[in-house]
Amino acid sequence: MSRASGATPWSVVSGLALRGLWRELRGGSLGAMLLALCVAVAAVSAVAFFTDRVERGMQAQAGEFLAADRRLSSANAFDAALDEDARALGLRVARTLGFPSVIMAGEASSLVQIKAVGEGYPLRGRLASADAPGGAERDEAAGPAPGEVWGEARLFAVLGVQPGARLAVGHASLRLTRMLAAEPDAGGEFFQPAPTLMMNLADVPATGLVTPVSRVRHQLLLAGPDAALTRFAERTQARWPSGARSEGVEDARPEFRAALDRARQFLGLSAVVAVLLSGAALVLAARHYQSRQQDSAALMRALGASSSTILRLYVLRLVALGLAASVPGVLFGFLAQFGLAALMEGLLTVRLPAPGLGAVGMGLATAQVALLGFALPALVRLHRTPPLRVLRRDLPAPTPGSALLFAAALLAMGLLVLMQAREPTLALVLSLGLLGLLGVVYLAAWGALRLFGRLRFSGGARLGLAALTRHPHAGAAQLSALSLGLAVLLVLGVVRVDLLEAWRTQLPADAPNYFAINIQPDELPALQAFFAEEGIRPAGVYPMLRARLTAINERPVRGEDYADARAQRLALREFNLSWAAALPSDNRLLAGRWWTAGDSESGAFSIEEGIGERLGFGLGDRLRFDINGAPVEAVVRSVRSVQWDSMRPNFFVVAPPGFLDRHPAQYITSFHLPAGREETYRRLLERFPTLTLFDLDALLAQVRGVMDRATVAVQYVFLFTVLAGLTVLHAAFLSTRRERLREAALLRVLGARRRQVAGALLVEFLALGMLAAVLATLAASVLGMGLSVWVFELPWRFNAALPLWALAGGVGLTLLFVLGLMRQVVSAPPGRALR
Amino acid sequence: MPQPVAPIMETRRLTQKVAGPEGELVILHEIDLAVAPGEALAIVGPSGAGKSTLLGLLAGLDTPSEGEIHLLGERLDRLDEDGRARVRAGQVGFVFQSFQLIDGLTALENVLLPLELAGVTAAAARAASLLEQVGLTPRARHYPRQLSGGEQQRVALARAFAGEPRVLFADEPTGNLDSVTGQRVIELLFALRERHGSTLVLVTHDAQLAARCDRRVRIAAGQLSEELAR
Ligand SMILES: Nc1ncnc2c1ncn2[C@@H]1O[C@H](COP(=O)(O)OP(=O)(O)O)[C@@H](O)[C@H]1O
Ligand SMILES: [Mg+2]
Repeated sequence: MSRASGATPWSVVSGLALRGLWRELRGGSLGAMLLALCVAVAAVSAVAFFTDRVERGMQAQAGEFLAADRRLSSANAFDAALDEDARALGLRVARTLGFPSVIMAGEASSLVQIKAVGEGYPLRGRLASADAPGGAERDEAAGPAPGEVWGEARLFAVLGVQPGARLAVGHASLRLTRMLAAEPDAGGEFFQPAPTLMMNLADVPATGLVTPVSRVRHQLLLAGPDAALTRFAERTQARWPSGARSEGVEDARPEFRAALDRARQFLGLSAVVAVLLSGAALVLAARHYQSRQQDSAALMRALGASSSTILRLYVLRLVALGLAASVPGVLFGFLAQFGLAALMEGLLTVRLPAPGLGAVGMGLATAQVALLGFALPALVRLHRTPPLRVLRRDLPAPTPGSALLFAAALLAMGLLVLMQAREPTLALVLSLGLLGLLGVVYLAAWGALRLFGRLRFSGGARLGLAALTRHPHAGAAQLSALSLGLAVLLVLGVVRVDLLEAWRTQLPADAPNYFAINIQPDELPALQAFFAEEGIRPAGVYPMLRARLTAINERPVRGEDYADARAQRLALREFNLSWAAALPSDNRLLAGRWWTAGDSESGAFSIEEGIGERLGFGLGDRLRFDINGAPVEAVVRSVRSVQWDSMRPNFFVVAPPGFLDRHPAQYITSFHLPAGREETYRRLLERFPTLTLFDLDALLAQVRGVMDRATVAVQYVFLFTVLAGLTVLHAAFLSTRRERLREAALLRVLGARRRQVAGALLVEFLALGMLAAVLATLAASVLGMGLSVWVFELPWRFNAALPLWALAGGVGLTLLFVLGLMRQVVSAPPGRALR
Repeated sequence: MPQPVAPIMETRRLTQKVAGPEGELVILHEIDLAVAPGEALAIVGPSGAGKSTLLGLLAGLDTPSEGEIHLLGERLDRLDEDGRARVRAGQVGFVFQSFQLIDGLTALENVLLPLELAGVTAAAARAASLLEQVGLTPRARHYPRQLSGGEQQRVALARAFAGEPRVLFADEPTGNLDSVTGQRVIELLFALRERHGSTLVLVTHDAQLAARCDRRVRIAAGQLSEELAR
């Protein structure tokens, strides 16, 4: 036998830390910690697995939005030698050419957006065609052969032609062979004015449509490894035409990426609520564990263990516990992720790849941060347990100061929120908000219990209610966790529906439900006559012309100057200008003045308040727009608020009549068509085939469908909150279990029957459930009222179903919980418990 | 009678006072005590006399108000908590009235604990052999809750001797056991002490048990007095 000198080696400490862990897990406070951690890890992993899939899916598909990995575009032609340079670097190359043109089919004609595609197109993404509109789609490896063209479905309708028809495209006659069903780089605009006609690049010279002065868009598509793309740019950039723009996959669809980021944050933060509740369970369980470990710590100290040995032992044990909880937690999260993906499936435009391991780290890290922040501080002074405790059992280990407990919990909370929000400022704001929310709920719970404690009851009820109010902090923790979980579900399940309903009913019954766009100026009289004939009152007919904002006070506008993705998108895209003599009826003037006599000559703009805020201009600023290559400049004379949900045509920027008249415009209107007037709808389409009609009811139903699915997904994540709330009940119950067993035994010795003992327990938890229902109803109502009145400006009305749902939820959950415990408490033999 | 060798533990003017509800309470007053290596000392006295307090001080589990405590060549009253723990590690064993086994560990693991804490190599075989010496080999994998009181105290005995301690402190080891079981535990305790040659400090109010020790001291009213062999 030999003895090592100095500190106890790590191998021994870790052996001690791990040994007995499994046994202590069962039923004890370590078990409660494990359970709480599992729920936390599962919640976070489910979201992490899912968003990781979406992110990878997006990355894989980002190229499809460009039909390439990198796209160069310019108004001028690219040097023919560039293709060879690219191939030499191992890149694949294709060219496209885009321009608008009017084509003819017999007597019929239509404005189309021509897209001439060369060999190799598309380098990425899916191109598909069909025999005829409505026919089965077929994937295509390349665009139309020379001499052939493919047209979008609406082109067949506009021209009134069948597949096989000959089209006059400039000087060339080409055969319309197939319907264009899907193109990867469709542009993604909501309003695309002209249908696309796809042709072969080789046919372009014969059309005579492209001359050096024509307004065309040349594109050079490239695909291949990143390094080669970078090399290509370095080597050839000098030979690109001036003003050439280079877009990579990272530039593709910034608004989509922003939406995804927001969704990830939102789901992640929903999961954090569950983690924080689990944190409360950890705090309770760790305190209990600390009180149960004092004997062991004292004994080890008496046997000669140094305080550092004991400290290391408990830290290691917690780390091991975190790992042990992470395995089932991650697994559970992995399974739950499939549910989330199924719920979100219809909402996502990306194909999800198989789940990857990238999300495992998030679960592991969450477990450790939660343990170190919420559980370790309670145990950290066990190593100072007086060894004399082995002789005098009443000597306690020093308890850690509440400042330490609070600071550690706060730090962990901030870190957990940061891990999901990934933005320090947002994390800080949210942490403070969450802290405030938890604080308010906790105080409310504490106050409710105090009030409740004042009430006088008799018999078994008194015993049960005394148990509820005896430990004010544990009781308040239980009550607030349960209330919070319920309140969240109520807001998502009941309040949201109420809000939507309130919004729908406050819309006037005759609010417009159809938008008509693409109205040509010469059609306008006939259309207005048609409306008059049919007794339809359009909500104003407005001209609409597409313009690009190029400068604010002579300073050029560039997308990269805006941090926010939505602003970036707005700054880059073309938006719609209009003109009007009078302020539209649903607009309000916020600043400046409406038109005066000279404005038509000198020009003026009236802007919507939101666009000004987002893009950084306001009253008195000089804006320059580019309309079809012609610059238009004027000063902002007024700022308006717009009621977008009036369903009337509305515009970000409006000019006075006469100022923009020389630019070609089309018209837009909206109108109400009651249900049952499908005949009118059909006649309208027949008379005005180039009109584009949007059915708002159908769109709204679609939007609502999307919202419903999204909320179900969020509710799904919040189910973890309820589970976490149950772990708090469990942990709180555990810390009073001994006392309860003793009491139940004492009651039985004194002659109480089992039913009476069980009754007291039932009363206690039913009361807990009911109190939670009251608090949750209150919280959900206050939130609903706040949202109605301040955010959505809708009338608010208390929903009587709210307390009923809350009661069902609260009582149901606690009942579920207490039935599991009942046997334990009631059936323990009195002798054992009293010993 | 002169001591042939230097004492293994010794106190000089050892005083322990505590703050009570009615002012300061003197539990031990200027106690001088020396124990020779290999000696078996019984501390007797009525309940509440301060026997456990003295034992705790001798083992370095507590610090005295005044006076010196020497144990295994170290001045305990001058060491800090970890320093005193270092003196105990692997050299001191304990047997308590309330057994004090760790619930989460098996019998064997409980015996292993002091060996591991002292960094002893090849500890498992030694722990198993100790369990055999107390006749509990078949119960090695059982947890304390699955053992009777007597069995638990035998595990505690195995644990106490596992590290071949130079000093063994026992505080009323039979206090929680019936007389037959207690007798069995005492037989084992003395047999093991014989084999390992440990110095023993035994607190008891059982006169019969005290009689088996080499020497008896009585505590009353904070004072220590030597009892002569009958
Ligand atoms: N830290 C302390 N605080 C207050 N009283 C103490 C403390 N330590 C011991 N005592 C008291 O000192 C007396 C002696 O206790 P103890 O040594 O346990 O007696 P014994 O073991 O002889 O029965 C008892 O009255 C006990 O209550
Ligand atoms: Mg005692």
